[in-house]
Amino acid sequence: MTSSPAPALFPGGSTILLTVGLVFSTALAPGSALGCVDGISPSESAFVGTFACNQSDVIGVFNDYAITDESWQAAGLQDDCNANLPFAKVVNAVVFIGLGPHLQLGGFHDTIDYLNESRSTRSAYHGDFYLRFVQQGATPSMEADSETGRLLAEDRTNLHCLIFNMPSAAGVSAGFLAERAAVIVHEAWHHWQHAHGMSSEHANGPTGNCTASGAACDFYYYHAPDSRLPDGSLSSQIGKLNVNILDQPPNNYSHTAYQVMVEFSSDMANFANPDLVPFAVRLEAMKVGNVHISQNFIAVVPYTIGTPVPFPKIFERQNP
Amino acid sequence: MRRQALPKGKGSVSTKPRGNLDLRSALAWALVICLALPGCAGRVRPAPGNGSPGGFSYQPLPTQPPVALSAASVDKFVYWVLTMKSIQVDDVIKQIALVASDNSVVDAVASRLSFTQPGSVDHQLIYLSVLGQMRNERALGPLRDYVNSTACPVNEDLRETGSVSRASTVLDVCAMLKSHAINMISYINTAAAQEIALQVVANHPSKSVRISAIDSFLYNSGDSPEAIQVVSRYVRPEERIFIGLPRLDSSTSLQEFDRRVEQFYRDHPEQLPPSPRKE
Repeated sequence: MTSSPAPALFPGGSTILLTVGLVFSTALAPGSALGCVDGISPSESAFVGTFACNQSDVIGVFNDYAITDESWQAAGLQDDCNANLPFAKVVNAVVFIGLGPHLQLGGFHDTIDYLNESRSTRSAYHGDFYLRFVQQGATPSMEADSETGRLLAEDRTNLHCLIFNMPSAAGVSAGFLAERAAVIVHEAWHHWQHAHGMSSEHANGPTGNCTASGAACDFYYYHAPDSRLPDGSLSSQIGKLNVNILDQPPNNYSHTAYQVMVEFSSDMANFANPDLVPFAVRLEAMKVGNVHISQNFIAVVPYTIGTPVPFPKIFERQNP
Repeated sequence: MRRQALPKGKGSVSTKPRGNLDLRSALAWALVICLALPGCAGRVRPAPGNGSPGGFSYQPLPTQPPVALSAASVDKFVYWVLTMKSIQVDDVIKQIALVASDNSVVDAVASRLSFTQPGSVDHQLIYLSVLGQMRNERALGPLRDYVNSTACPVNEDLRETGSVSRASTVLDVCAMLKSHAINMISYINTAAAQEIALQVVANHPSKSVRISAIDSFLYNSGDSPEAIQVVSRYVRPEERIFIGLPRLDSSTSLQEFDRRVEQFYRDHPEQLPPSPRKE
């Protein structure tokens, strides 16, 4: 895959693309694309070793997450258990999302919510969209973007090499499991925003507390883990990620894309299934969440995830 | 729409080429659809559903026998840490304690710190953690050099040079690793380590790293009032707001955590976001 050019997605040449709100991104012409840097880290490999790569399961993810675009042909679709390649890495991320907190264990939200939110086929969270693989060459600065409200075409999320790359001589990259899964959760939230009439745009940074450049800044509508909603339910109960209460702060209950990404990362750092998720991946999730907390919010997010020690311990909460 | 069967895939899935309408067809379809739907490019309505990935069958991560740490076994030791389950953290800490004063181990681990040949991001995180856990002052030099390295520019460095305009969901991996490194320096917690941490609080180009330095300095000083006074002398005026933020981990009292966050918003109402609203 490393040297494969991007497939010609639009062979007809003349194509109408209308996107709303988000960053535009197109596949590079064949011959000009740089491939991803294939490979897998030991921690992700250990995680992959916990589940069997059965074709029926892979096809279930393929359909639920609509990894159905032909762009995935160049990204390992033909070799769908090869965890060195982007297609299988998406499957790994989906399986990871499915191992979060469940049944009120003290997290922000239930793993079923993260699954229903992040999958591409329509759910209570959003309408149908699909995932597209986009190699990126000359400007390798984007991990993913989403296109909503497309005219005469299905909405989509574009996943770029940055979330698949193994580090190389070019330096470190974001191609590790906890960030990849958080990006998928983040991008799906843009489709939630579109489906619910909320703006799916980020603010341009740097602005306020947000130090990121470009369209990468959000607000954070704080609610506590296990917070109680007006109907008496808890945020960590199934379906409560989908609640949207538009009110004056602090009485609102709403989410932005970076916020969902942070809450997801916190939940995975603190409550991911300890029998199946390696320690190193939980550490990744903690670090991912904290960087986004400090860089991607216009107003200060007043907490950090975890304790700043070398080997943070995980304390298992019991179901109430 | 053409559907393409996989020539040799293990699964019986097929892919969908999309977006290959020519201009004339697209306009014709636009007219038809606009007549049929409430609005052009209208919102796709959500629908109830309870999708979850297929019923993967799992087998737990094995509990691995601990690997002894020495200068010669660093790679094997780190591979164990990278692949182990969370409950083995105590085993790791015990193994590191056995060689904490061995400078050859410090040197062997520190020699693997690299932004250009990192192995993986996880490798770098674990090398840093091992050095921090050793609490050996010999590690301070390599850790300080890592935090201040120009080989891995943070967002602020990139903006300063105008070399890259980052956008959308982009993780500042350099800031992430350097933040962990300053956490490890703070964890070593000698006078020299504290001095490095306070200099980072004041001078590091990355806000993420500065915030991590504040947090870890305070954590390793027991969040004492004296430590808050010390760090207050170094922190940038606009970043005093980051002193004493609550930490959320799996042992946190959620009531206490929520109380402290709400107190923060009472003290800093300007940090409350505007009301969320529909477009």
